[in-house]
Amino acid sequence: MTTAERRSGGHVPGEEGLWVFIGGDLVVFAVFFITYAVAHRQEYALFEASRRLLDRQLGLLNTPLLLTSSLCMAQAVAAVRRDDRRARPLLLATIALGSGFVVVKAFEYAAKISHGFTLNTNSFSIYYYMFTAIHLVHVLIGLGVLCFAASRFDKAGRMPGGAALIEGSGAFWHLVDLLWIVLFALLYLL
Amino acid sequence: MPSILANRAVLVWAVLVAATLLSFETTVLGTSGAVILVVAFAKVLLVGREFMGLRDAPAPMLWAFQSWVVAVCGVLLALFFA
Amino acid sequence: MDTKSTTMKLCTFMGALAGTLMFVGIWPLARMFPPLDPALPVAQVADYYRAHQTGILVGGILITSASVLFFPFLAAVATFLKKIEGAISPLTWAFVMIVAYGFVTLFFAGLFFTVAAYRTDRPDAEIAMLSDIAFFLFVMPAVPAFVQNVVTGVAILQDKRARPILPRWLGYMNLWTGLLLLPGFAVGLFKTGPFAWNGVLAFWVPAVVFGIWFNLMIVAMLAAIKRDALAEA
Repeated sequence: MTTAERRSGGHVPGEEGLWVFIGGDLVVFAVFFITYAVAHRQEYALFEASRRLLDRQLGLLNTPLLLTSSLCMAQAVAAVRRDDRRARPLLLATIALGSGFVVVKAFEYAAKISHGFTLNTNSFSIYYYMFTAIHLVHVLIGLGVLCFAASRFDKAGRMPGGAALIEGSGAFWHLVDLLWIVLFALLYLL
Repeated sequence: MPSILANRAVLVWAVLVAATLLSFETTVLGTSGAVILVVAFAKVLLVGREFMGLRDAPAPMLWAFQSWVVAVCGVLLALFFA
Repeated sequence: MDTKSTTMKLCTFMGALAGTLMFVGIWPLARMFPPLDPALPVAQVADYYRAHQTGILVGGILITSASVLFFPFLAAVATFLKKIEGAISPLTWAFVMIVAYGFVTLFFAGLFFTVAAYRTDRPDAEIAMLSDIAFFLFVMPAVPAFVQNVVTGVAILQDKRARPILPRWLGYMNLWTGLLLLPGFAVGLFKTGPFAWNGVLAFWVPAVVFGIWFNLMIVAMLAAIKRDALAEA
């Protein structure tokens, strides 16, 4: 943060318009979480019993995967800001870890379906599949955005045109991580 | 060149991973779900402030985010455990 | 103000008129807002149409009229997208083609509401089937609307002008709207719960988001017309 920014009251990561999207997504996911909590209250026994069928180990594995990819992302943003050549490898590591999340999710879905736990098994399974699928769409879009950002480095490994692009991509990627943290706690742990 | 292995972000990451493992263990040990929920939203707060860079963002943005965290966490606590 | 910007203004306002007509048709007249419960037994669905016949028939007229009036509005959006893209404009063409069938479903939804209410002596099962078709036509356009919003968002964000034709936040708004329509894809899978066609997440969230999107589009477009953005380089 430059002194000018400190004086003007702070630095908006990425560009301002992007935060319309992030703020909007946070509001809607709040509605998602609350809908789930209300359903959990109404069908307590069913939700408690069904939740034990989820593979907590795979859910747990996915959390550090995303957390570590978020760390790489934060480091990549900092690296671009100081014109550090390690930015591109860090961004590629972010993409690799994020792809790992998708692979783990695919295995998790496959195992659940082969055990007969499918979309319409009960009201818990609807929430489980729909929430994780909507989140997975966010992950895939995020990966697309990160690949686009990775293609913007020049031959010397620098990013011409400033840090706004990578900051914005990073903010979206951290949003994906942040939403997963809550989903993991709600669906797998509580 | 500044280290990418020893800086503030790595420390935040270590706290986040430790919190994840701990809240996973506590469910095994059968500790209160309310603690797990609060820990999850504490992690959300850390990701937003540190990784997203909201710590350095204009005050209204930071406070909007922090209010979201507190409000959603509070409503969920009430719905799950009240 | 020249004729062209007057036309653009009229087209944009046509969207507001269409939105109002659709809402009046579906809500106080047809009483289909919120939608009928998909889990409702066939006989009760049929009785609903018999009890609200006139309202549904008049609502059907408003809904079909609204579906046509959306097109001048969408044409105004396309004009902005064309301006942003310039001579080579794949996203504008994509937008034009997608809305051509994405919004025509609204016409057919109104039509099927009308057919379902037209002959009240029809067997219950037939009325219920026509009703199902009407509701699917009403909610399934979430699929084309998702792509339409992504195309619009990408086109707006592609604008490299120092002062973009449409504001960049509107581009992100479109992407956000698209994402929130996603639960609408799966309405065929559920008869109860939040993802059924009357559920919180497949109906209420997309309905509110569509309302916000629609109004902000109109506001941003009127602002761009006022500063004569189409006449800029």
